[in-house]
Formats: sequence, C-alpha cells, structure tokens
Amino acid sequence: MTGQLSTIEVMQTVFLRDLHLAIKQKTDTLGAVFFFALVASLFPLAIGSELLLLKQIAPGIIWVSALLASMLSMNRLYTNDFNDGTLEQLTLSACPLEFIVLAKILAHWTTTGFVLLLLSPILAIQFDLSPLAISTLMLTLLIGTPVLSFLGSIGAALSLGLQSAGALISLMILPLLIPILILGTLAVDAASTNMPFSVYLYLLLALSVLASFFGPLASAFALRIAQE
Amino acid sequence: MLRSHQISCQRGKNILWESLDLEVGPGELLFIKGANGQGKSSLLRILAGLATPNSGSVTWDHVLIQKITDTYHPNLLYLGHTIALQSEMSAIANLQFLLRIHGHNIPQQAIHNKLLEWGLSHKTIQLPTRLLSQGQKQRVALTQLSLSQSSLWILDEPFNGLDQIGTEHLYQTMLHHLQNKGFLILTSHLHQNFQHVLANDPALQEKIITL
Repeated sequence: MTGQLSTIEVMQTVFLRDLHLAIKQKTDTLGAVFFFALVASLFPLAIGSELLLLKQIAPGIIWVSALLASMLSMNRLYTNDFNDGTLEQLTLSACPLEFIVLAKILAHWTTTGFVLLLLSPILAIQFDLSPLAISTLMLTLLIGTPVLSFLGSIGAALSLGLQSAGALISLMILPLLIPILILGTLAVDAASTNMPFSVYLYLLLALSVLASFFGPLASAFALRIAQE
Repeated sequence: MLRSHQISCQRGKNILWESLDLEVGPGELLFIKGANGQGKSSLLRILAGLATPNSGSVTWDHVLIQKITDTYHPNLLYLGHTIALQSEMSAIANLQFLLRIHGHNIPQQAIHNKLLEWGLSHKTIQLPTRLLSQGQKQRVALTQLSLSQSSLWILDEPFNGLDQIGTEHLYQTMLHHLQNKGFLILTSHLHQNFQHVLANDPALQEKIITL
C-alpha cells in the first residue's frame, strides 16, 4: 500500500502545499504584489512628469519597492506553521529540515518574487525605460529576488514566536540586502546608458548562489532553536 | 528500544525534573503522569527530539537520537498538544500532507476510509478544518495512528476532546499497535492507568512514571 517517499518527493509536497495555500489566502499574496505596484507608482505622481529624472531614478524605485514588498510578505513564511504545530511535524519529517525549508522558500519566491518580476515591465513603462533597460531590470530581479527570499527566511526564522516580528525582520534583513540593491540598480543604470553591465549580473549571481546555500542552512538552524 | 539516561529539564532557574531514566520496548506502554506544569509535554518533546534535555541523553537502539534522525524520524509519530492541522485545508488534504512529509505515500482512498472508521462523515472530511469541532479535529489527527507505519508513538493528551465512542476507538487502536510490537508513550489527565486497554495480554506491559 505504501512506499517511502524520497527527499525530492517530500520537497515537492511541501512546495505544492505552500503554493496552494498562497493561492487560497489571496490577501497575503496579493497584498505584497499590490504594495509593490502602488509604491512604485506613487513616485511618478509625487515627482512629476520630468521624463529624464524619472528615467534616472526608475531602477532604484522599482528595486526598493520590490525589497519592501518581499519583506512585507516574509512574515507569513513560518508563523502559521509554527502556531498550528505543522512546523513540529516538518521538523520530525523523514526529510532533513534544510531541504524542507528550501522548498518553502522556493514556494514563497514563486508567489512573491516571481510575481513582482512579471509585473515589473508594466511599472517600468511608467518610467519610460528603454526595452534593453527593461529586460535588464527583469534579469536583475530574476537573479536578485531569490536572495530576498533566502535572506528574509533567515530573518523570519530568527524572529519566530516574537511579537511584531514583521518590523523586526525588515530591520534585521534590509541592511544585508544593500549589496543586492546596489548591484541591481547599477546594472539597469548601465543598460539604460548603453554601458556594459554583465559584471553586475555576475556579482549578483554569485550572491544569489551564496544565499541559496546558506539561507536554508541558517533558517533550519534558527527554526530548531525557536522550537526548543 | 527507546532509552533515556539521566535526563533533566529546566525552565528558567526552575528544575522541573532531573535524573530521569526510562526505557520503552516493543509492546510496552509508558504512561507519564503528573499535575499541570510538571513538564509532561517537555518530556515528550525531548523524547521526540524536538527539544534537548539540560543534561543526559536519549537513545534509540543505543544511538543518540540526534545522530540518527534519518532512521528515527520515520519510526516516530508524535502528536503534540496543538493539533497540527492547517485550518484552510480539508481533513483529507491535511492528512495526506502530514503522511507524505513523514515519507508515507498513502492513496487518498485509504485515508478517506480510515477517516470514516474514526467516525467522521463524508461531508466533514471535505470541509476546511477550521469549521470542525475540537473533538472532530482530534479524531482527524488520531487517524494518522491508523495510517502510519511508525513503531514509536508519542501522544500528548490524545484523549482531549474525544467522546465515549472516540475514546473506545483509540483504546482499540492502541491495543492493536502494542500487539504489533509497537512502542507507545502518552500522557493523559483522564486516566489512572491503562490496564483495561491491555486486555490481559501477557505480552504487553504498562509502565507508569509520575513527574
């Protein structure tokens, strides 16, 4: 009747469940996306219609909005599972917690970072970015937003069980994301002035690889401590 | 064989219990008694490996449980005092998820049948679990016992919220597990002992620890 499931199959189960829940609990998921769209749209309204200025600040605004939006949604990553006891069951799973955390982070990225990425070209049009700049922006978001999820996960795990964890996660993790912000915006700036920008992408990719390795490790460690 | 060696538990500066040695073998039921706040749940969490004791160690087949989580976890079924059910998902989806993360791939039909055996209706098991009563949720969680192939059960107050019929069904499930050389550790504030569950089977044994 039964067979043991492999690590990959368990990860797939966790990934699909989180995806399913994110779709069911629309307010959380859409909240972050609308926040992203709103914040990025407020700037042109506040600054006015000076195209040159908007073009210059566009990459920064979109990146900062993406940063804030992912931090906003970070809170939900472990809190519900912690409160209803699912996290205990995940910790006692046959599959190592590090891999389960990886699956949860990937599901979180799919429902936030990836959606922001899809939305970004529409916002970029508001700022009159060139097609090359827009594609570079999407590329930097594709490489960079996973880092937001991986590092945000560490913050979410460390602040688990605390009250007003949301603000704490941002305070802990946002300073660590400054390099991502700088590299992301520099790449788009370079692309929009027709300068070479691949070096920024490589650096961003290196940080992304680092974060994808240490993020799950550190998060799983913090989650075990939170449950002691 | 699950063993603890001289384990102790501290909350702040307060020592809840110390120098605790216990041993559970196949076909044995370990009943942990104690008033509220005596550290029963803490003991269960330590035995499950969710918490570490302040001193001492817990071993499974003579190896520290922290070192063999890959063999210990599939053997373990722990039901804590919060019922681990996601409130938006149906009973059946919850159970399928919980069993899958413990490595058991069980067809939906089998889960469905066992839920009915535990006295839940067709309708109930399709609803989001937030709409279920406490007793119904407890039954859903306990259905895992009938489906999992883990040999060591650690149950924190499994009788909470159960009515007479549910309680009887749990007795039967426990007896069946013990007769299949299972290990069982539980707490309950509703019982003095579990002799009536063992049904005079000489192969089965009850141990009681009072904290």
